[in-house]
Amino acid sequence: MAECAPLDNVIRPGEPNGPSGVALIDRRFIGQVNLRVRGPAVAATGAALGYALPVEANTAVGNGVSRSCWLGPDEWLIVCEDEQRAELMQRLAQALSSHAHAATDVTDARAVLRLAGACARPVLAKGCPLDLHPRRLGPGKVAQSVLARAQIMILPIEEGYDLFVARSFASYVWAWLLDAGAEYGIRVEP
Amino acid sequence: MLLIPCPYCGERAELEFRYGGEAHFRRPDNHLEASDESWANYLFMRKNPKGWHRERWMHIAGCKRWFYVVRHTVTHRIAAAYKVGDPWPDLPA
Repeated sequence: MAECAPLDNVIRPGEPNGPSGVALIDRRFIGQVNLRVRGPAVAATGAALGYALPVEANTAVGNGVSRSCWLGPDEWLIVCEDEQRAELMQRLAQALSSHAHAATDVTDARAVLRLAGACARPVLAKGCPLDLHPRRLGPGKVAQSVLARAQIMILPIEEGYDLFVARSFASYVWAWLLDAGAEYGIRVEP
Repeated sequence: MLLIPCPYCGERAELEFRYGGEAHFRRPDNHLEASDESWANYLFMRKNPKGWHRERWMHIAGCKRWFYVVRHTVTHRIAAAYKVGDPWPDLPA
């Protein structure tokens, strides 16, 4: 039997326990705009963004500037770099001035935690009821769900996920991910 | 745990949802003149059937939309889910 000391499994900041298969990254200040439009305003938004808003459930579309995530039949979250946010808001206001719409800057509402690496999926699966297999939730998809009872939006990246969490839950989810990732040698990256 | 087919997002686990009770009962139309009995009926009386039940659910951790589910209260089988405003699907035999 392998020897196991009482504190072998606790998280040691900066010192992964064994080979690290997953990294946790605080993606500070990601621009986020909540958009509610329906009817012809959907196409008008597409013209302003440079790509059509995704109308299929649980999908995300974007270009080099922004990415639009389907949240509901008339609701999207548009994600961009923080520096692009002001221009994006202005562009939307201009394109939608003659349509009923609500474009709300919600950048400060959520923290974005990036879980990256080969073991990101098993870590997330410990607290999320979704089918996380890439054929269901890979790049190009998006899903809202719960992680350890906290509401999250999951945006898959090439190898891993960006997790959008209400800011009041962010430190809880951060701590939960460190705990869940300990067995995979999770490390915190800048 | 129930697997609830949200008409917008697809099948999701029950813990993403909130239950909203019996569906399709109607507030008294002329509320100033409605009788005490019709108010009491609206506020307190529910069918509570042993069998198929039309009920409201909200996908609180997903698209945040209300919709309707036809669920069997004994077997928990879900026969249909439909959007607000959609025609009501028939209850299974």
